[in-house]
Amino acid sequence: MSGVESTGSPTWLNTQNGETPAPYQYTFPPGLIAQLLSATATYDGSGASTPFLACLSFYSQTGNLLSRVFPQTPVPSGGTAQVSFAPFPGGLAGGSSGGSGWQFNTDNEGGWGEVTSNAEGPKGYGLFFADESGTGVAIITKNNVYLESTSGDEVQIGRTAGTAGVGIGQLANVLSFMLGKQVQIECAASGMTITDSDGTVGITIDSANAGAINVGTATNGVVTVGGASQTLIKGDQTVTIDGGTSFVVAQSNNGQDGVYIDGAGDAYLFASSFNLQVNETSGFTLNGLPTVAGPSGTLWNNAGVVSVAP
Amino acid sequence: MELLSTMAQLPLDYQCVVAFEAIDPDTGAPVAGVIISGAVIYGNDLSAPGTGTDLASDAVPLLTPVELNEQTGAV
Repeated sequence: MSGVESTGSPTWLNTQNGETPAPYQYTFPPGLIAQLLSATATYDGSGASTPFLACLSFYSQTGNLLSRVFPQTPVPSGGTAQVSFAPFPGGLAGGSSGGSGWQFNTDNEGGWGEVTSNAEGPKGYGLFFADESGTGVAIITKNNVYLESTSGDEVQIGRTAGTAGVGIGQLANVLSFMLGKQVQIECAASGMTITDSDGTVGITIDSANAGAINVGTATNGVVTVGGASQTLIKGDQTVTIDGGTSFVVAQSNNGQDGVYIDGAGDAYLFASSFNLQVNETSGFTLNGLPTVAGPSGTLWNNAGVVSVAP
Repeated sequence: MELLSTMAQLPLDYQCVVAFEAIDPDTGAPVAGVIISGAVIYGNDLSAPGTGTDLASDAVPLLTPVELNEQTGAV
């Protein structure tokens, strides 16, 4: 034998007895020179309030940090991890490693691909995708795209991360549906609500061309147009409200507000056929005419003669 | 959960420290409340030459004493 030799066989350097609050440290004793081949430990974060990296750190004789290695996957708060450290000259493989497989500045093109997370990351998500380049994110498929929450929680688009509530397009200025075909928004179960919580801008449904805007139900549901204060139905030209078989104008609050038919010019109640009837159980008042008393006042047009009779 | 990490193969000697630590990924600060158990460190003992495989010639010894350089302050 000549030269410098090793012992030829790996040697156990240290085995921990019991458990120790992190950090657990091993200090090289006098006379020992060694090159580590592997290290392993269990990191129990049951008492940790935040996610953490399970690190193996090397310090010099004077306490300076020489190297710190750790799996890329943090251990979630309250979680426990069995961590193995080794040179892995061939690189890490498999999802459990949490340290390889996704490469940047290269085309990760090949066969099929699956990404599955089994722990919460430092940003509070199992999977977190973010584009900080300002160029956007594109998910393109030749078939269907699914965004599904199997737990029944909300599926949100454009919601500001980390904030509560439901939002579509909250991050973006405009949420656009740009398709070559029809856009259909359908809720098959529990109804649908579109709310403008801003309270100042309002909601606009605009047909940019001559196409009609239809608000209605296919069966016998109720179509309600109304607001907490004033409701305005306005058109640049004629506004037609067609009830099909009948049209009812009612005011549910039997108070002082009443029901108004008003215009800049004359206001008409016109029946092109049959009779025009105005019925009110407690009497009614016409401006310029005396109040008609009685429980069932009736005003009718009879051959050009207007008569008022209780 | 089972996690793997690559590890540097640094020759270490007297008073060097190997530490199992829990570090906050955002701040780099130690995280309290983590318990380490079952820690095992396994390696080649290079301090007892003459009993194993010849790893280097006389001209190129395996362990050449190298002066450790540690920066002080910022540059």
